[in-house]
Amino acid sequence: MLVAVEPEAEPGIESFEALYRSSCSDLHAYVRTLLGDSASAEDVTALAFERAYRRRASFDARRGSPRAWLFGIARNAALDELRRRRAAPALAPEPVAPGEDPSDAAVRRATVRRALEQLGARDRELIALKFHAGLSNAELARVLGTSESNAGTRLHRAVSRLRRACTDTTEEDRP
Amino acid sequence: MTLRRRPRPLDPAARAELAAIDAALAGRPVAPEHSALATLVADVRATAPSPSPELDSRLEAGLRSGFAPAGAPAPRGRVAALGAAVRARLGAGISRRSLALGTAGALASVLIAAVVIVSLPGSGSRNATQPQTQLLERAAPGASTPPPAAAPATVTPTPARPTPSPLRPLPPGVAPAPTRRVDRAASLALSTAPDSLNTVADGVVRVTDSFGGIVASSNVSSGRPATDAGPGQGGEASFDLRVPSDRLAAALAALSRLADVTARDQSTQDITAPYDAAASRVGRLTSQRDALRSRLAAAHGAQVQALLARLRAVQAQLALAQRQQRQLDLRARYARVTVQIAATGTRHGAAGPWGPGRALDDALRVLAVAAGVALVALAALVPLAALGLAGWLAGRRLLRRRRERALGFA
Repeated sequence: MLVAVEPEAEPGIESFEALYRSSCSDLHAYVRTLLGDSASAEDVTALAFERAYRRRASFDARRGSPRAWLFGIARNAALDELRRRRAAPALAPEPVAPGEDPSDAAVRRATVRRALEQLGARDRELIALKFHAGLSNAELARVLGTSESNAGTRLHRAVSRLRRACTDTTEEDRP
Repeated sequence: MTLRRRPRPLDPAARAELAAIDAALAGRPVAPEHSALATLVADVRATAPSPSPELDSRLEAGLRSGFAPAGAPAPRGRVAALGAAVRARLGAGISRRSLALGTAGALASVLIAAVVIVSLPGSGSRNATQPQTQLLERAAPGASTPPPAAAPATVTPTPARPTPSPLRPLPPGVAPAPTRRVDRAASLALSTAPDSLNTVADGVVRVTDSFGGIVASSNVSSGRPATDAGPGQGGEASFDLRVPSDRLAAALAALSRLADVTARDQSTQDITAPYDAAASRVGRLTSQRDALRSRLAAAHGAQVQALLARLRAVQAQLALAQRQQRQLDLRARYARVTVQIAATGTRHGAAGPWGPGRALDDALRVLAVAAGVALVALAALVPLAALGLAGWLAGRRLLRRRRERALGFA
């Protein structure tokens, strides 16, 4: 769910709660995709919100939106976790919920999950920031610390690799 | 040196695909040629991991408690506790950096204010040196009295007045010598502040002139001015005056008004008899001289030389008697007045009990010392702060690189 947060609003107590409500799931999805580990992802997500709450006075609306600021904090926390581990475990396949209809959509999503596992961490991060967090290219650039055009170029390459990976995975699954 | 490659602009097809992704994420319709991309967006979003109920409850609890970590230690040290208290009082809108910047700004403002106040004209040290400067300027022309050899190095003897000319004739209006001739003398001791010494000395000369008197000799010595290190050493002045005898009382009264009188003494001596004796001697010698001149006019031969010798001797005695008579006459007409002025070691306005004026002086002195200490501390801290800033920036850059490298390993 993507909820627009007033970009001008300084994250005070009330606006921070609004930011939390609108970003919690997306932030967790991004961290989970980046780390590939559910337990670590939950710890990093909680740590990111804790850090953001403590530093909410340092937020500067002129430097980006609150979401970009929050995802920047989460990214640093996730990268610190990666540094500690030195190597991220492979993305655990999401278990199919019981009772889910094994339709074409379910097959496609399983393919996408496997394709995501094959991507490098940088591409995976871009896909998560764009598709899970719903950041604009400008926000993406703010989080990655690069220019907007560079972020767009990198995103397009990551999407292209994801599409190729999906195609390769589909062909491998054919008998 | 690493050259950063400028990213090539996206081609229109790629831009269109990115726009289609944004449209699909926003729930807007996409063009038919991008329908596969929209499906991919939906599938990727559908694979987004959801937070567990445990994480939800954990975050909700954190939000309610302000994300205070369990068992968080209290701020260590008084400074940290004070900073936390200030931030808590002022609200969460103030950060550590803002607090540090504000403190540094306030400190710099106090420092600048102290320096400005101390450098204002009229502050302590300049007041203390002003009298000496004035005295030195006055002592430049006609200085005739050499400094005493035993004088301390910090004291500058300044003979401010030129040696007076011989006694002048009585000015108009001064009464002739009375029948009874009295030699009058007086001495006056005055006390004043060092920075008033010159003013009082000027007043002595002015009063003497106004009463038709003369300054026979004078000597003005400035003392060591008061400094931050301690009180100054007082200067002194002495005057030898001649004041018409019949105006002595008025002149003494006027001189006494110039400063605080610490001692006053007057004496009289009747010199009528010596004067009359000198006058009678002058008359007798004058008669002898006149007689010798008459006899010399009628003398011949060897008598002339003998008379000339006697006439020279009588004339010498007559000149001596006349000089004595004249000196006695002057002693009767002019009273001798000695004025001693002593300057105390405290500055003007600082004498007397401790009050607001001295408190202001003390406060300015304390501010000046504090500003000096702060400047020295600043001179030492600025390079350290620059080094710390450079180290902090380098550390941030290194951390950023390590984080990016960690992403590459993943």
